[in-house]
Amino acid sequence: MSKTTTTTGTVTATTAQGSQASSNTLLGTLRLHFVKRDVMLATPPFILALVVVVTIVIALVVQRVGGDPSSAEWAEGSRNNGGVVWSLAGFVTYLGVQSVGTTFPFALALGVTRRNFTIGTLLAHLSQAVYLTVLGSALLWLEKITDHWFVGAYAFDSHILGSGDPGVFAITVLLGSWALLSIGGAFGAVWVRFGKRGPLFVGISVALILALLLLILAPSLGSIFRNFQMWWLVVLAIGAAIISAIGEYGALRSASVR
Amino acid sequence: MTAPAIEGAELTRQFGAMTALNEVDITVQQGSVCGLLGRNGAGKTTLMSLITGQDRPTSGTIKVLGHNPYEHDRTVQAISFIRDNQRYPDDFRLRHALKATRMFRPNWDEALAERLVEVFRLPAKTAIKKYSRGQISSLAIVLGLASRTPITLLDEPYLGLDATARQTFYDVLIEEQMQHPRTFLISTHLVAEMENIFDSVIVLDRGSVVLNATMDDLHGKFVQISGLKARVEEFAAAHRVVSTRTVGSLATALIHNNLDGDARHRATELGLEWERADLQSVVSALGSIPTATEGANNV
Repeated sequence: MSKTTTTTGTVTATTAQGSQASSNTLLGTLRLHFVKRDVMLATPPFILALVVVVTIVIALVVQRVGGDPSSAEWAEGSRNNGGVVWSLAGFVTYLGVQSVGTTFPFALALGVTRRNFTIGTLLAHLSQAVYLTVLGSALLWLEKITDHWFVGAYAFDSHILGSGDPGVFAITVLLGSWALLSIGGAFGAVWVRFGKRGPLFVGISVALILALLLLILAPSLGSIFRNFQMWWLVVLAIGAAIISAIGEYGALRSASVR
Repeated sequence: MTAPAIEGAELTRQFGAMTALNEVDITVQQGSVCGLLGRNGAGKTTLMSLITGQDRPTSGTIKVLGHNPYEHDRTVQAISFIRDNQRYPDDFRLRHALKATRMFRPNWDEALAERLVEVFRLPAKTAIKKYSRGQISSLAIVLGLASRTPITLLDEPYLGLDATARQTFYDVLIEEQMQHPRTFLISTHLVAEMENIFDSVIVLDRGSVVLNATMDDLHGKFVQISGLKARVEEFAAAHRVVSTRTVGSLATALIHNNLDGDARHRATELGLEWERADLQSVVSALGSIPTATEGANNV
């Protein structure tokens, strides 16, 4: 269906016709990130389905060599499976990097300001994190009602994701994926601003700071682990996402697309 | 008279030790088609980046529709600028680019986009990053023209296009400008092909503006005198010569002035031929287009 309007090329016309688009630019950026629905929406369930299949195969192999899925040891050992986390983490970080690295130049060409791009991208990251949380929660529920995929395969019911607690699972996936998307976005912005040396420099700097922190906190690590609270991770993830978004905007403000 | 669409004053852009633009002053009137001419590295794309707010000048001011375009929401939305080496999101295909552009452009003309996609035979299933040079240019033309933004910048839109595709582009451009007038700024090296489309031109050389004039002004300003070298030199001595080219005993001088009746009479007496200089000759003489002619001498 075609839509044809007239452009006059005058300041007045620009103001009138552009005002509606102006208010939509931020949401437009959010939608821009979801134009490739196959990547944003279809790839995560595919990855997770693959993890489930591989986990089921491994569970069956272990049972063939004598493992007992009804034993407490089986459940305890199986909950150490970090397949979901590691497989999703790589994909999510890639999404974060490309959401800025290659989308930013095109967004500028479409008349998006750096400010609106950063906020729109932050919203897109949050939306993607919510989607992954809903998807993961549904699969955790399915895993539990099928008694772990009928064969004692633990993919989502794992220690790192809350040992089957839906609340802890949701918070972990939501904040973890949001933080990774934002960190990836910040690295993408640094790449746009400084070229290939930028991410290398930032990566080394962050690693050095973390190593220094570890060195300072080393004598107290035992006490820290003993008193560990879940909300520490929540604060850490939210802080990482916000700092990354601020860093992203800082890098993009002075970035010139060439 | 309406305010200019684009005004730049003393624009300078430096990248480290390299000066891409040096105190550039430009004016582009609303509703005009302006050619941005100059050799590779003259500063054309840098100037376009400043106009679209994709970059900031080191010094100087740029105003588009009365505003500094950098981070000015309403202004940047009024501008379309697809670079000649535009980067698209990973794995974007034609439908993604069209859909995304449609979301941001309130004047988007779907019928025009479909027509141009058909004319340029853009493949739907191939990832844009695998497009040929000509297909990338065609896509930029589709997005630029169908967006119908009040200001449209096209960065060497002919790259990789065959003669038929280029003619189609020129035809559609003229048709669009007649039916939906807006401001176009088009960088090109194909001066002769586009001369009749331009209302005005800006010529850049080594980061400086060497010419910013309307075509009407240009038509009366430059004359080419040809004949025997000695007689051309004799005639030229009384005029402002932009360049002289010599081949053997013959010479051609580009004179920055129209010839009055006396001057024409004098040229005839000396056995010289004179004609209005075309844009290609003017741009070439201004040092902005390489010339293979022996003895080119710019003033």
